[in-house]
Amino acid sequence: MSESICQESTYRSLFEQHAEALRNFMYYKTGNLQGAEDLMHDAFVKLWEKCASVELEKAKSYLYTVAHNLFLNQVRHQKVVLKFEQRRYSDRDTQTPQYLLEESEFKRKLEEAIAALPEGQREVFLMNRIEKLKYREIAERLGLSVKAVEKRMHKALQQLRKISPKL
Amino acid sequence: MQDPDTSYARWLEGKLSEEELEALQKSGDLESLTAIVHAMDSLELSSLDRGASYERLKKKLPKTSAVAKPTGGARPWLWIILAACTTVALVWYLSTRAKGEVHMAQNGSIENINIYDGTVIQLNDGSTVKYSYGQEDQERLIQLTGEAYFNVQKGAPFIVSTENGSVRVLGTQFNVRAWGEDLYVECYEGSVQVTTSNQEESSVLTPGQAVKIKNTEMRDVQPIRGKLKPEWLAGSSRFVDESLTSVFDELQRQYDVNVEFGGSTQGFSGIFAHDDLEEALRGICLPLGLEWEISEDQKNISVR
Repeated sequence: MSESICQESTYRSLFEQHAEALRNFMYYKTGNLQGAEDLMHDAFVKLWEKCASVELEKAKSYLYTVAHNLFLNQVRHQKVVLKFEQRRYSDRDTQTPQYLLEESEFKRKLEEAIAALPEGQREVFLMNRIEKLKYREIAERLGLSVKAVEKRMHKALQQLRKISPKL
Repeated sequence: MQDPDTSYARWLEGKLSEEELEALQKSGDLESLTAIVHAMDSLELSSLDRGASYERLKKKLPKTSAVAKPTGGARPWLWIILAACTTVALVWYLSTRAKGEVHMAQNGSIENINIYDGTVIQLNDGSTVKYSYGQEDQERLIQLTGEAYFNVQKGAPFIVSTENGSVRVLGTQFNVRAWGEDLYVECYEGSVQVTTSNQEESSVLTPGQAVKIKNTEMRDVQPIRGKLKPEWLAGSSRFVDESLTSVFDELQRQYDVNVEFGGSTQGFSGIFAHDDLEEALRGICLPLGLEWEISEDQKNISVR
């Protein structure tokens, strides 16, 4: 008896393994957290519908392909709004209110500027800065050359540099 | 001469030539680039509550194509509780970064354990696993009682130690069954080394191979026939010439019932499913000419 994706335990373990990374990947494209989760869900629904014909080893690439196509089909003129969590630092309590205010203002500007980047640049920039992926890894995932990834990254930094605070 | 269209990108990875770096410092851009990079380092994406997200997903799934998992179909609340427990445990673990942790799968359920390095352990009914991770590069130590399937991320040596022997791997997928005096290991990917507890015998398994240790005595390596994962992950239990006592022990764990059994020297080879007690008993007892009776509350079974 071989394992099938139609078996809920298998399906669920695929979800456990890939849901978050896939949601994040969609988020870097859409910039909408709820929308990214919905796209991720839609891809998993498709996988469930096709559970009998998709091989377990191909499930991951199936999910990514479907999610990407769903994203492309979606209305593209939605405005991109990014929201990140602020990581807590232990030294936060000792910082002055003035500093914290400037910091959160800068963070807001940065999010706006990232949202305003073209999709290709935003994707590369966030995969590198948030997912901590190397250019080579990003190139592999997106099917680009390393050089193309470096160019997108350079352009993204060129744009973002403009909002940097005058220290 | 390097491409100026990629200089910021290469600066981030420390790959600029001395000339390029000097030029960048002179341009005055370095300060603002550093500020961006520092600001990004303090940002992270809110993590996905997988348990809750899975519940939302389930509402979107079409009802028709479902080949529902026995425990999930019959007792959906169990999945919810299980998901909640796993999520809480994971969140707690990540927040405390504790050195070791004990997990136990309740009878009648399978527990998924996601360790922060990406390793996934699926724990069969009534089994217990304790893991302790050292600092980076040090050994990852797992203590197992019962049965579990491991999908190990590459990294430091990963050691599963049991009463009767240990399994040492680097990054692979394998199943360990360690109940009573038996240890049974199946390798599905990569390779694993199995050693008896007295350190006297050792075998290396490659994909598609299995080995059994009984009372610290190692049997010959056997092939596992055309399957991608152990049966219990797909909702059934398989036995190759195992004692009836172990078979009924497994039945007790899977159905959360009590089995009264006088004992027998007969061995059993076959499969029983986890979603139909009557059918499971028929499959075990009929071929061996045994009779069985199930109590009215479905909790007690006597076999003669």
